[in-house]
Amino acid sequence: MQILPFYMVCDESGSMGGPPIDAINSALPELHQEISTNPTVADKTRFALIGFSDDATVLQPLVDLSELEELPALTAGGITSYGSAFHTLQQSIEADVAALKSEGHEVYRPVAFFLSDGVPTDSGWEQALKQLTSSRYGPKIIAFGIGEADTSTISQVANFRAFMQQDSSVSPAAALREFAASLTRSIVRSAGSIPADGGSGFTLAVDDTVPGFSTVSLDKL
Amino acid sequence: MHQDSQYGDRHQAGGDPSDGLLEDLPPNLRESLRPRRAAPEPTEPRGVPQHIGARPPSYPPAPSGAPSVNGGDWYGATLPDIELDGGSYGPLTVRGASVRGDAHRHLHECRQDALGVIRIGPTSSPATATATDTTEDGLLLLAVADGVGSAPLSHRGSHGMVAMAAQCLDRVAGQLAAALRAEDAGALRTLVEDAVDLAAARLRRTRPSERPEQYATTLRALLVPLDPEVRVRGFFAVGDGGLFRLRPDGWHSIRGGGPEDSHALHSAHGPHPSYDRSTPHSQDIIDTRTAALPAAYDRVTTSLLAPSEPGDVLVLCTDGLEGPLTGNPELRRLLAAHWGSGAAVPQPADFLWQAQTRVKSYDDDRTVICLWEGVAAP
Repeated sequence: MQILPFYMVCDESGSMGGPPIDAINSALPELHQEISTNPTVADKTRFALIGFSDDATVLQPLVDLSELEELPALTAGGITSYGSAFHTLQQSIEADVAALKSEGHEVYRPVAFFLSDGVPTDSGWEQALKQLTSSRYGPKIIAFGIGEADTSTISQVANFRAFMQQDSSVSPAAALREFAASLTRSIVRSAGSIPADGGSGFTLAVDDTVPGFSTVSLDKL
Repeated sequence: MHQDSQYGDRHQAGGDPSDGLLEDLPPNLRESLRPRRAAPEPTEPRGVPQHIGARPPSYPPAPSGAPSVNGGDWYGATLPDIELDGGSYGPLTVRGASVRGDAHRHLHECRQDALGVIRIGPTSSPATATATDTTEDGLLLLAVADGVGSAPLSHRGSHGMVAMAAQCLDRVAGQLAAALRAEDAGALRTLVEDAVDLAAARLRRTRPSERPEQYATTLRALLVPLDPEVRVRGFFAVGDGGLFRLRPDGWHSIRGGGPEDSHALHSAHGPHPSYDRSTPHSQDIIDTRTAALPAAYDRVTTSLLAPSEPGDVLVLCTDGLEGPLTGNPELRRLLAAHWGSGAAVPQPADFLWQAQTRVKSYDDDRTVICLWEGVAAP
């Protein structure tokens, strides 16, 4: 099979407590439903959920969502260690891709959704991010800034798309669900007319906008 | 319901089964090559195409919504979900099918793949051939094109490119036939490169108001001399897709770009040809980028294939079939049983059913042309 590993990396720090984390938790079943029942997404996507605060935890290891009853919930508390998040994501990706390939699957470049409402409290996270993105299976990162998140930090984390929440009435998870469908559909049709020997880009024709979010330009791209 | 036995087993039938193409051959050659036998009588209805693996894809197994004309793309709206074609020329038999992928069906988008089984060059029908005209310069152009998925008008590109390439190759068909007869790889390359470049330029001229990347497409094709004495075939390609030679020992993938360089597809988890090898960090990850006509290509990959042996089957396809074929050993076994040595040439409807064998996660348009070389006469 051709498989797209899809990681959702969620900030669970104390500031996410209350409505922000409740909104994501309440929308996870919808995200689950969308991914597991839309054949365009379901047949080739594997999903994993990583939560981070003081430390990062794989809450849901990579799984075929059509074979899972329920996603685990996020719990807020602690500080905001981006370094742990990137390190855990890289470890997960390397182990998961190796496992998928050993089962005979072909693997698309992984995609990570990164959600955070705050500013990293650890030092050295930039180095962990660099290691992640330059690793063999370095993911395409789409970063979502929620609430008080810092725009320049969110755009620094993203290497593909970055979005900042504009309208707090739009649940980040609902926006995610919409974006996830668009993203995975686009991977299905993503052959790019680039000479085979030119560039190393990953052609995705995904939506540039997410309802309730503003699109942040990534100068480095 | 009974099938006429004359068609059930062509090589045992009376008369010349080759439409006159074998008539002028030396007796030894005329007697040595015959078309492969055609399919036997049906034993059961076909129904839903088979699937490989524990579960079929989540999509329904049949066409769903057609693209709407209200989208403004009349051309896309008129493209059929499925195309099926074929032919027989002397000892050769051809079947071709192009099927819209599950994802395009689900999204009510048109098929972006194109199929061409096109006779080019001079015609020499038995009625017009003279006693001295024993040279068959006609060629069969077998072409598949895969409109690049991210390009909104790529279905126009793929269909347009097949037609333009046929026109431009037809202009030099006599020289192409001579190059193949002489096994002159250099002449073949020059003729094909010039014809494809010209075809790309013509395609661009027909779409002056659009950027070339909006209708980008791959193109890969076989040039098959109809002279049964010529056993080499020409191959050319821009962009991804597959070409295989199916022999009793299995599938051999042909890369092209020089003398025939094939490797056997035996390993269940062998390297995938579309894996990106261009950058160290993207090793072993599916790379969906491809060179494309009419503008995003450096050169046309051209090669003179090794002479076909009796019983060979050449399988030309877009990446919609090349992907699962390369990635799934069970699909290779199944299609080898349908199409390979020992099997009869399927009737068109059966070929279509076989070509639609489903593998979960492979939901792209799928186009395949099989060329069954003649078999040695008993």
